[in-house]
Amino acid sequence: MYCKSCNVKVETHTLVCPLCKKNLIEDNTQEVVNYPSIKKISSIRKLIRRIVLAVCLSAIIICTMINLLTFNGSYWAAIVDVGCLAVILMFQFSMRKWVRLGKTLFSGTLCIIALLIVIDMFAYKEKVSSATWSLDYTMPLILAGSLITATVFLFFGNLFFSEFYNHAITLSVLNILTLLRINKTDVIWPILVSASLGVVVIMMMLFIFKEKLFEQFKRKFHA
Amino acid sequence: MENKNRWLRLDNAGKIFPYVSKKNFANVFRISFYLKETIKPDILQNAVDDLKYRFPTFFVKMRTGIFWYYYEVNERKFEVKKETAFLCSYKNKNKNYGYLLDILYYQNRISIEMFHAISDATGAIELGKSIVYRYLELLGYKLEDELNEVIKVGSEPKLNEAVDSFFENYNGEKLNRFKAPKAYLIKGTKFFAPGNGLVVGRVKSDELVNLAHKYDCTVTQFISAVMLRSIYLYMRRHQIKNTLPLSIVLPVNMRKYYNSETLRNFSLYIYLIQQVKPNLEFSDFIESIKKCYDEQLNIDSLQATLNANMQIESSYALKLCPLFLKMLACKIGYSKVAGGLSTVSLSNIGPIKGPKSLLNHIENAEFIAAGASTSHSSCVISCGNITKISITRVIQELDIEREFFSYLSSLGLEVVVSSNLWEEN
Repeated sequence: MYCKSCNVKVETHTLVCPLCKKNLIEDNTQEVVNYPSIKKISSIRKLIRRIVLAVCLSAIIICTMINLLTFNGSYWAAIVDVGCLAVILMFQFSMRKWVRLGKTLFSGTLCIIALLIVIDMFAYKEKVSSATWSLDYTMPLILAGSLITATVFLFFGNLFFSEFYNHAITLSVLNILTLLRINKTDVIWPILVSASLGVVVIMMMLFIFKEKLFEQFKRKFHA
Repeated sequence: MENKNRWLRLDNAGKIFPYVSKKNFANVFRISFYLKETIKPDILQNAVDDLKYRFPTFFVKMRTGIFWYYYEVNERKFEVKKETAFLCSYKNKNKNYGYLLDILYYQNRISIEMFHAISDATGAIELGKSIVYRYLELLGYKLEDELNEVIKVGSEPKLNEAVDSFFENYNGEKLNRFKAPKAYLIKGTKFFAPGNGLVVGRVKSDELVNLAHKYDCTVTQFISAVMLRSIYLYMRRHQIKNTLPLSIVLPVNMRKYYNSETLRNFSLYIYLIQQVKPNLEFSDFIESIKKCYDEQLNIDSLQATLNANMQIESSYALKLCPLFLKMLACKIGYSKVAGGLSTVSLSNIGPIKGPKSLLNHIENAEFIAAGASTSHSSCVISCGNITKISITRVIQELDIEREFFSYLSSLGLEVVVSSNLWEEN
């Protein structure tokens, strides 16, 4: 087709010139669609994420307001707030993002531990009290479980080693730091399990994966 | 070292892009090859799979270091995709299995969209030629490449293809570099749907070359002059009061100056500046451009620019500054320091060179850049006797494009225009 105003030939499937928007003079040339047109892609995952975000934020606002307006000494809304935040964060670091498996595992671990601590502090109590079972049992055992998961991935080759080694090291350190609670509780065995696991993994990385680990440090710290 | 254990520092040009790139400032370009038949996706996938390990510098994932980003070879499966309406979309390092490029197909076109931190257009064309060559081989065509102009399956990656040529050619001298002044920036109405508008004009290469020679200049100088003229007339038509000069930023392929074979970035930029005066003629634009070429397009000036860029990177203060602080500083300071120095960008990659048996299967090629710091980005590429000039924009108004292609037509060129009609979304 031809545009008399711009004095150019036009390849298009419309009847107007893309430059001046005036009508084209038709000739015998075929209509051409050079570039794909925009389609409304229904991303179900995006829709679900938005619904979850809206529901969670609404729950946080409504429950917090109700708790404050009807306050009777119990901060029960804190459980809802932390629970909803944990859900939002888990959607943000979705397990389906294969590139960020390590980050997903690490952030998921911290979210679950935080949620359980808050439930422990606020649930079934008339007033806020210090956390007990969450710090004694669930925190060290969840840290240990995450560390085992991260360590398993280290054996799956270079692909996963570079994505998991830093999370394995961080989780090992967190597992060892649970020893700080050893004098504050009567329940010692979960702490010993998690701290021992942390030490074992660090030793394993230093002896079995020594070369891979130093190679990763060289890359990480290159200036 | 085994291929899969290799890692790469980002080259000097590539270092800035991860810090400043975002969804509407993607720094992505596209090279397209139009073949003579509809593309078969499964054959294309096989071609890419065969070539993936021959081009380790392209199929990488970006990792976060303490001081800098770096690349590692990406071992995940790479999938070719059907083109979507979004040109040169942002390459998120946390999506697409970490790959920073896409290989797309649409009708009879194979396109490579690449984040500029990986390579420049020259490097991308080598990858594109190899993919098309392998694709045609898998389709059963007999191809010959006596002069080894195409990198083929089965050959080993060369070390000099992965070299950071900026670093290699940095001589540490403090030289006076050309400092571009602030330039006029074209303003307009943003698109309703986020994305880039595209207009492509197709002309005959021999006619374009003859026309350029008629004005005693090169094709790049000629097209730059037409572009400057288009912007000048746009300002006059809209009675825009402006005292800032018009400027085109033009990438220069440094490989020929330093005998480099790198497939990574190795381009520097020169600025073609036109002071705004009343009643400028086309010949005035050509004269200004030639003057800028004389001043900036010589080995001393380019070396000075290279040294200045490398000096920044080599300073201990910057080297030891943590990555997150660098990112913060770049996000805040980049647009103030480096932005606003050019009105439009223009890149002429020239003719695609290759064996005749390959070029016979390629109807034409296209080169598109989007998501740069200017409102308009223009790219030129030739294949056979067809030259395609693409102009992408982030605003709805088409004044520049209309003036540009109408003027080419008025000078006697037969111009065929197509568009992605983004303004209609």
